[in-house]
Amino acid sequence: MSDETTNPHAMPAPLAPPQLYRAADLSGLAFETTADLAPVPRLSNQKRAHEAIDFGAGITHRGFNIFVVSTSGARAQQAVKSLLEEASATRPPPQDWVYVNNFAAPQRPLAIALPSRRAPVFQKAVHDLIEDLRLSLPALFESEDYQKRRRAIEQEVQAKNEHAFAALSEKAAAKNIAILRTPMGFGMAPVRNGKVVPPADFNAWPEAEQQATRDAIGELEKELEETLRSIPRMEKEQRDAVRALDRETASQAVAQLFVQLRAQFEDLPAVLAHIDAIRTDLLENLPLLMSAEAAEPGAMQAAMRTGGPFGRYEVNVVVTEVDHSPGAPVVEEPHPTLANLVGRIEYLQIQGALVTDFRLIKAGALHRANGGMLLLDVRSLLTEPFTWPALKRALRRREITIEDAGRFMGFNMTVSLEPDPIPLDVKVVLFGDRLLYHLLSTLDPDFTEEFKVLADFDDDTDRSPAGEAMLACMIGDIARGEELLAFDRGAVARMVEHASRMAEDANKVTLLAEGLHDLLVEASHLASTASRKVVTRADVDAAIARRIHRLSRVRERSQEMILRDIALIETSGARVGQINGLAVMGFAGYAFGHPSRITCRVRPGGGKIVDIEREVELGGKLHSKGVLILSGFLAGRYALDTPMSLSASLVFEQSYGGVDGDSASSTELYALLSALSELPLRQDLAVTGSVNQHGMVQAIGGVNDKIEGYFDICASRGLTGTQGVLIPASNVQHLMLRQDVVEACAAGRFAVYPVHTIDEGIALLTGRAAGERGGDGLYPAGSVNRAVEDRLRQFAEVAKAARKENDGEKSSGKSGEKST
Amino acid sequence: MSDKPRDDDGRLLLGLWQATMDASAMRAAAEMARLLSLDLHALFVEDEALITMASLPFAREIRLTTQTWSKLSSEDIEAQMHVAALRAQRLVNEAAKAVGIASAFEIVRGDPAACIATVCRASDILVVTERGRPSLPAGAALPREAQEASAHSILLLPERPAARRGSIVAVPADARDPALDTACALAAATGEDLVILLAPGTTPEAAREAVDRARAAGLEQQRIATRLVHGEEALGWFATMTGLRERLIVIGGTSPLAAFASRLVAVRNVPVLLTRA
Repeated sequence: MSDETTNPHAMPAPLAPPQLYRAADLSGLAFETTADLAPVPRLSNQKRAHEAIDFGAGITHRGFNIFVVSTSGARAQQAVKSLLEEASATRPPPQDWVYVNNFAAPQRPLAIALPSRRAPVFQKAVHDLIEDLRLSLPALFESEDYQKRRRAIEQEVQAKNEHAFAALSEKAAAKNIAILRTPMGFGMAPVRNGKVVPPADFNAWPEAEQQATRDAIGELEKELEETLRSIPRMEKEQRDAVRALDRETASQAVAQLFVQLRAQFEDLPAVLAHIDAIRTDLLENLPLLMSAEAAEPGAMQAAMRTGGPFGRYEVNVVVTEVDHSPGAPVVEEPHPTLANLVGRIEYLQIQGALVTDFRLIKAGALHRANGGMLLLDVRSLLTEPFTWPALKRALRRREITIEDAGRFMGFNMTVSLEPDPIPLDVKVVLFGDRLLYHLLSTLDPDFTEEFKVLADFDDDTDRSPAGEAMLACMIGDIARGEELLAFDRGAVARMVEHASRMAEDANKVTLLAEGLHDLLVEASHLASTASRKVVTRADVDAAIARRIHRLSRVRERSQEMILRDIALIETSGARVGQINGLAVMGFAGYAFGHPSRITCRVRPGGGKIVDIEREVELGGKLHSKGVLILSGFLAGRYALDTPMSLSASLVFEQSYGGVDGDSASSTELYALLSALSELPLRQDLAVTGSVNQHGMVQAIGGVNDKIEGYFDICASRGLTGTQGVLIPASNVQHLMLRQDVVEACAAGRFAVYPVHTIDEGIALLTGRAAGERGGDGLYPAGSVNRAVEDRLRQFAEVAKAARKENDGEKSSGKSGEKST
Repeated sequence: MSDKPRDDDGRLLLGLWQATMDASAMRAAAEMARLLSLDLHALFVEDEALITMASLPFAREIRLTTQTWSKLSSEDIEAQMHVAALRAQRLVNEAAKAVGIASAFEIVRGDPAACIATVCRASDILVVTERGRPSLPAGAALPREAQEASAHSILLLPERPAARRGSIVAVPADARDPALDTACALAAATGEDLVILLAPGTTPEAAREAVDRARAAGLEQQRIATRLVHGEEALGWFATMTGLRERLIVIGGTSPLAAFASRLVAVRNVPVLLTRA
């Protein structure tokens, strides 16, 4: 539609009450209270999102993880979780996972998969085996048979030892030489009559005898040397023999236990391999284990939670189906730190040192959700350090690697573990708002690779009879779920109407259950406090009013400023270049409208409209755009044969905060036209709406709040019957006004005017027709447009004269002086 | 060092010289002293034969740790003995403190056997460790000391006695052998059962008498068992002990098993107390 197709002389008529508020029609829904209403099938009002979730949950290909966009937060998350749990219950349960000691490389624990629910069985079987061994092995090694065989080995070696030494001693004795044990070793000396020969006696011997003794000692020393050299070899032989005996003894004793253990897991090669590794290690380290077991007191053991030397054989069940309900798991991680997500390695402080082993590996949400679904709030995920990259790595590599944030940060310098990564097969469902989804899509190239399915929840739905009925049932669900009182038809109807107001659209109802929930709870509380069994419309009205009242401190202060003429707003009379605009302020989820004076001053100039808000950086980009559109409108409509020689300034008076949005652009244009035409604008009217370059008035947001905001000021000063608000005609469908506003309009004490074009609006504001360009190319005399165009031509003339004068001054060497 | 024991009290006499006793044997000796209500008396003998040897002009020793020969002087050997004595004293003190008994540590110089014979009183029990670490033994010294002190009771300790619970085995020569009283006292002190091994040919009356004596010593009937040995040879005695899990064997000095006491220590790996009347 263009401005040429509308009637520039038409004055918009005020809207009738039915256009200001659309009452709920529940006539098609038979019920007395919400107790009679059937539950709403889950996500039945979110077909697009429902289909996306079904698709995402069903597809097994890589990267088809789901991003749920919803502004209803926890309730949507709960609904999706319930849906996924239903779907997962029939799916096969995932494998159990355990970590066990890697005997070859203890710092790299081994991960073993077992069929569902068998990990605890394996853990218990190994634990029982260990307990059996702890009890039976010490007795075995104290048994008479073992001790006898061990003594036999030791005595055999000892006998060899003694024999060699005895032979040497005898040989020495035959030569009257004694071998004596010193504290550090052995020495030799000549003996006579069983006594070592004193030095004096020895020196008294003949030289030949002395020499013979020295020679004999010299020979014996060589043999002693040889004998001593053989001792370590014999000791080693003894150790080897004892070790072999230990192994043989233990092997026979444990054989049956291991056969029984293996029999339980014959179908699991990895488990069998580990059982064999336990057996090998046990036999290899038996003496060490026995001595450590004996040395470690029980109390200390419990305090240190190390499980003693046999603890190395325990099984750490990381995840098992026993941890969750049957079927595939659906895991929600509300606090997705790195450790909570990918698992962690805990440490024990023992005698000042941090120690760990495979038993201190703890599962993360990815472990618990492996084979099923993991639900995460994306905002929580992104605000935790390291978690988002860790999640992407896990999804990309399809394995869970336990990473330690402390190590990344350099906090943890102690020796740690590198557990085997566990293969990952999980469907991740992220919950977030649209902004986060778009930011991730735009800024993170990996995001779209891994999250290919978008489940976009609608914030509202059509307010058809079916839509209203669905919302009524949804209200019933909330009431039942929260154990509230039942709501009667009137209360439900009021809730539907409020849901429409929340949607800012008379033809829609909100699906944001959180807002409805709070109101339902409060209304039920009020009814309950008044000892009523059923919540009525009056309770809902009261709940809405109370909620608004609690949040209205700022609104009331704003209105007070106007009523006390501190913020200057006129609600009667007429002014040139001055108009009442309407703005919306938001506070803690509550929005309210308030009038704001906009003024405009004009003079001849270079064709520029100065947006003062922009000049002082109080105006946003959208506001600036709106102001620039005004230039386009003026240039395209007026004095087409002359250059635009206007200089205008526009300002939101007494606005000290930022201004954004283009909803005031039509208002500013009216002020501009008034300033140009010098025709006064009615101050009993307030205006909202954006405008395009063709002068068409376009829809804006917050229309209900804006109308009510101006109405409150007028009502406080006393309604005159001429007051009202001009709104874009396209916003009529959004009207769900307060009852007092509707009643005032019905009584003719206030009015809401739908405006299609600037011409309609200016006619209403000035009381003079806008005027249509005639066959002579001119607007009719006396019309607003004529006045504007005449003024612009006048400005052009002034500007032209000024340029000539300026040019003349330049040619006569007077350049540098400014013209006015 | 702990309180000096009274002269009239019996002592557990621990002979120490150049070869230091193993710490576990030291603990076992201390525990035995506690059970027998004896003080622990350690006698460190500086063997004069070594000092004489070290004074010889060609004296040298081969050291076990390095297997190399080093020249030896009397100063060297005295210094070594001093260090060995200090270490032995520390071990004695620790062992006595651990079980809460009084101990004394004495250093003498001379012939080890003669010194022990001189110091040992009639009421003393002489501790003899079983020879036989796989390192070379210190000659035939220990049996000689044991022989020299044959008038005394002897506690034969295995080289590494197993610290374990189990019954006290009594091997009296007959029902009136004081060894039985000693075994009963030890069983009462330890709370263990008493097993009496009866020599071949013991009559039922003698057996009953032995049991009665044990009961008279305060042991309950159910804690007393008897086993009749078949065969005079050591094999018969050893066979009778099959299946027993004992912590100590007490043998009367005139029991036929006394001759095999040393072997018994080796086979059973438990302390053996050989009592003299």
